[in-house]
Amino acid sequence: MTAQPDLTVNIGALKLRNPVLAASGTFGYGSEYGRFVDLADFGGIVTKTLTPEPWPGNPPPRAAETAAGMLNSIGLQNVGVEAFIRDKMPYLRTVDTALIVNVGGGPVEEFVHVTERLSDCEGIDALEINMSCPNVSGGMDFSTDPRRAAELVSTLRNITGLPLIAKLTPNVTDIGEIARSVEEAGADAISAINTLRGMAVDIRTRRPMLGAVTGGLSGPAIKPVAVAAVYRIASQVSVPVIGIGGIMSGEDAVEFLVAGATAVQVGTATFVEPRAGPSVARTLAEWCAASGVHTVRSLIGSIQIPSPEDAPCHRS
Amino acid sequence: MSTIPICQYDAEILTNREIGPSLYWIDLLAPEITRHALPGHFVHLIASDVSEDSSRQTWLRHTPLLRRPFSIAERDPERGVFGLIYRIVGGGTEILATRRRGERVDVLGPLGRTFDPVRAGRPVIMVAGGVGVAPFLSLAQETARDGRARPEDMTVLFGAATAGLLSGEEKFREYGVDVRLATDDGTTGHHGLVTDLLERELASSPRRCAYLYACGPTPMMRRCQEIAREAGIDGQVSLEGIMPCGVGVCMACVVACAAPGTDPGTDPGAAPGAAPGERSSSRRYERVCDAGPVFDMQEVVL
Ligand SMILES: Cc1cc2nc3c(=O)[nH]c(=O)nc-3n(C[C@H](O)[C@H](O)[C@H](O)COP(=O)(O)OP(=O)(O)OC[C@H]3O[C@@H](n4cnc5c(N)ncnc54)[C@H](O)[C@@H]3O)c2cc1C
Ligand SMILES: Cc1cc2nc3c(=O)[nH]c(=O)nc-3n(C[C@H](O)[C@H](O)[C@H](O)COP(=O)(O)O)c2cc1C
Ligand code: FES
Repeated sequence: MTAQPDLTVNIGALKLRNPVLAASGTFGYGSEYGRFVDLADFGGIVTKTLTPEPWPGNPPPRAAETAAGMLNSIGLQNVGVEAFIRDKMPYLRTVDTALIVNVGGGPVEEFVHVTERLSDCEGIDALEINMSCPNVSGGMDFSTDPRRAAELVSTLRNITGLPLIAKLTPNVTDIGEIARSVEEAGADAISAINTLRGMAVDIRTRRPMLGAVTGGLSGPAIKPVAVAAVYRIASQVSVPVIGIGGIMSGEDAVEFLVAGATAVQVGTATFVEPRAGPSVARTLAEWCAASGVHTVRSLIGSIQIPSPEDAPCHRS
Repeated sequence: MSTIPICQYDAEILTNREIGPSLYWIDLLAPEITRHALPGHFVHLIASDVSEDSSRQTWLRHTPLLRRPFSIAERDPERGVFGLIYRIVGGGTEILATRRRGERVDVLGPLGRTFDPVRAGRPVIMVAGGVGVAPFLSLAQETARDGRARPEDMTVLFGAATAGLLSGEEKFREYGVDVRLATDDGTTGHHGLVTDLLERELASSPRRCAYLYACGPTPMMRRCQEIAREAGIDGQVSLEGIMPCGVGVCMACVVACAAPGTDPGTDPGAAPGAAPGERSSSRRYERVCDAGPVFDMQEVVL
């Protein structure tokens, strides 16, 4: 076999040792899985969405398994930005992997507050803006309206020097339009997708399976939706795209890269297999070696659309 | 967060046999997990066969997708084997029941907070409903093994829908523990609720119970909380929850907890965007997999 393939990729100024990140909300604050998984095997980790204050979240039940996936309605339960900086950052600074901190909130001022606090904090490599959590009722969903999405990103752009990754929801008519507006507003990268709105009913009790009635669908079931979203976004913007949704193997990661992603995040699969992220990175490397691919960067956007007539119309 | 190391094991199935109607016992060879397990610990396992030699795609091998949690019911540290008791209630347990001796099961554990041990001079009652008996089998076994308390200081009140589901009863007798039974259909023991037995026991011999443990269906545990409150007895409950991760990261498996000095920021009564003053209820949500599954009797709002 030839030399080890080059797995490094760049998300703007951020250099990753491999393109596999742990997805927000599925990896806590790193230390939980850090007890038995080597975090240095990840390209990076994204921590749970932070709000200014500790957030209680939604009433249980908060999860239900569905075909090849799961619904969740956590509702952003998190320790709040101050406890994060005080209690979680000392550990995270010792971890040899890129640290991306996910920022959330209700109104813009909350995003601003969290971003300001984190910008002063040493050891953070980038911020991911959760514009799309579908679980905060009454909260505003910044990524369904291109104008509001752009406003949020440009506001944060003005107050932080950290790379900004805008995380988009698939629950929109055209994700490409939102992607264009956040790129213009100064986002350094775009990650997609967050969970899809979904619902399941216990027909015996006729009650919803989730305490919050509806929730977000994740896992292998959403992978085709995510690949389509990445393909669409990559056709509309020039900033790097981070693909998320149902990734369980190196082959899944290749699919996202070919469709236009520069990196990927592994979420639900980690619940099934705590080493899912490292194992995706390892099998991606094996796949590259076996396929004569010397650098994963050569895969990015290498999709072959058979002929112009067959190509989907993605210009407005 | 517990300091006991979490192990992931490809555990060999030593036995997996039916011990009652839709009720199974499985023995798994996993020395590291067995060595560290304490009464109340649970494991999180993949029910389906996920061995990599299968040519099926990763996600196809994982049906159902998520792990399933089960309490450790028995431990043989010399052989490195632990046992689980489980009931078929859905797809995951149905698949687990088809797994054969010699096959492997991916197990993560031991997980969660454990029971306060039974101590000399503090007689206890354990109230078990159905497969809720599992952690008490372990508690009785370990107590009998380490000799920290006398078996006579333990009483088990064990209830189920019907006699065939009271499997495990004989093990308590082996450990020298007193067992009283209750069935909904009257096929054996008291015809009625296991909590009737508890009330009767507390009325007739109150000195036989200085501490109460309960594990079973939610209405049973709620009733135990009431009875314990009225009798002024401390204790613990072991809860269930839907557990995607089992290790404290996903925040899905929560239970509402009543807290005297509640941090208003973690008040589940608050609506997103509400001003701090609007946060009125005195509840918080705790993760069952991490702060539990064992909680202080009156701490949780069931
Ligand atoms: C800490 C802990 C210890 C447990 N110990 C045991 C045990 O020793 N023996 C045993 O038989 N069972 C135990 N359970 C319950 C067991 O995990 C569920 O019965 C199992 O996950 C059901 O899987 P399934 O795929 O067969 O059913 P599903 O198809 O997933 O569900 C069938 C039914 O079970 C309910 N259910 C699903 N998952 C859970 C869950 N995690 N907790 C409670 N209800 C659930 C569903 O809401 C549904 O009503 C324990 C649960 C927890 C959280
Ligand atoms: C239990 C759970 C909690 C999540 N919490 C967050 C969160 O706090 N912030 C966020 O941006 N995304 C959150 N997500 C979404 C994931 O980061 C990811 O976008 C989504 O699950 C799709 O990827 P997957 O199919 O690999 O899980 C959560 C997902 C799950 C399953
Ligand atoms: S199951 Fe994920 S936090 Fe408890």
